[in-house]
Amino acid sequence: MRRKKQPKNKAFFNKKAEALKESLTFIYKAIYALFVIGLVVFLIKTVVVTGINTEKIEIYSFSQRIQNSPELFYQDTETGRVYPGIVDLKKFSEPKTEGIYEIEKNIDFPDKGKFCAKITAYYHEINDQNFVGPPAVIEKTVYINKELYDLLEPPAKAGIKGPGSGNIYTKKSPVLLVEQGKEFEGLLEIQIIRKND
Amino acid sequence: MVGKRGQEAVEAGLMTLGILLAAVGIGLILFFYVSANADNTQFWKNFYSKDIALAANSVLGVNGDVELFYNLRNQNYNFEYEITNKGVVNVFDPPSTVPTRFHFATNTFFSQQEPESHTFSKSFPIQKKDNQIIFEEQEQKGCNIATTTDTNFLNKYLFVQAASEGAPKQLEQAVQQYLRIKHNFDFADSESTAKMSIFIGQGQEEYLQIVFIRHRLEKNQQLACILGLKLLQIPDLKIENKEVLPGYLEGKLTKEPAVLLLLPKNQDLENGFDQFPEKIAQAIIQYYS
Repeated sequence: MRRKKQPKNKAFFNKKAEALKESLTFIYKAIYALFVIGLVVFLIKTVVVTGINTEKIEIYSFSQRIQNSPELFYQDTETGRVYPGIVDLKKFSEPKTEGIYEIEKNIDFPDKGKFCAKITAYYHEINDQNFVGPPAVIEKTVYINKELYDLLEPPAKAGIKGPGSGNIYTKKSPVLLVEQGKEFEGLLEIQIIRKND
Repeated sequence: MVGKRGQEAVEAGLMTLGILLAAVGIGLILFFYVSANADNTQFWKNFYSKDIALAANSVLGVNGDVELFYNLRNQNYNFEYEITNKGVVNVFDPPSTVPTRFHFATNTFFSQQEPESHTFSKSFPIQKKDNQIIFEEQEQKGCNIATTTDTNFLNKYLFVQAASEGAPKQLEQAVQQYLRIKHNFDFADSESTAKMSIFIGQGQEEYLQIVFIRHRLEKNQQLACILGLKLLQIPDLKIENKEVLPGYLEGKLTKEPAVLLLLPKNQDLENGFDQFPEKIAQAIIQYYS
């Protein structure tokens, strides 16, 4: 019986080999198809802008509201101008009514679950001249949305990502502190936490 | 009963069919994904809600009294903007009632103000006076609106219809012809597909009546005001703006902005009628400015 002539440069597969070849090429085709789909999706996501990220400007805008707040900083009684470099220590006080700090009346977000802030003034105690030793550092703190701040501070400081945490932004600036007509140097620290979406 | 070869053929056929169906399914998913991303509407709604809220927040964060005139950047959308006294900015894309929303920090004084919300459809001022933020409604006196010129009014699909034969029909044709030739306007076949509707009828008074239904956003009133001011430039023409209840004109005048012009009795071409198309065109262009 004559043997069937093999075509040149072509492997001759029996039935089982053919079936295996089909399966293997199918895997290859599937991987290639997934790659193409993934590439299309990636290109659309990177080229087509649908989201608008305003996180930084929201933080900046919020910090501006704090820094121009007459509830914390010295306000000239005649011109009404607020001086963000001069802190009125009398205003750094505990909440008077219903646990709401004075500054929260002027900066009130409808959505309480997004922004919070802690504003701390650090200064040295004015020592008695007879006392020998380093002056103690005094801290005075006010909050905006204290409940949320206490909740978000630990994961935010730990750098945890995700919806249950937030991004923390800290700004420190040297300021002049005013109390009972006396002026002295201090440091103001504003920590803002924005909850992750 | 199918033999071995027949069975293999069936299996191969089913496999091919399966692959084809999967390819079609994946293709359709990709198509809808691309379509959804290619539409700009949501982007602009997001943009405006955030931009207005951040502008309001920035105005409040500035020392002293400030007036900021918020100008709309993209005039291709007829969004409606609502700012509540709780510091929420809602942007609607009519007829959808689902807004895109963003917040800004208000203060106790503002949150107790009346009315509870302010609604705008065009550029508007944001003021800060004595540490309080004020959103003023657009002035209706003199119908002054935004000062920037928008040449995109050509994209506004217009519907003009005469309610009866005679002078209204003549005016309808004159207006359509004028707007088509001079300003390249597009005309819709019905009120529902149009961006603006003008109906023309024959009145029984000695003066022209501009009839409108007052809706929440007051676009009808605004259009009526602007039309009135422009048509008043026609010598010897007396005009009255008339507000009617919904249901007038058999359910027409429902989609804002829409007005009905009731011509004075005995109105004819010799009596300033020929100036109507030009004045109506000027009013439409000013409305979209």
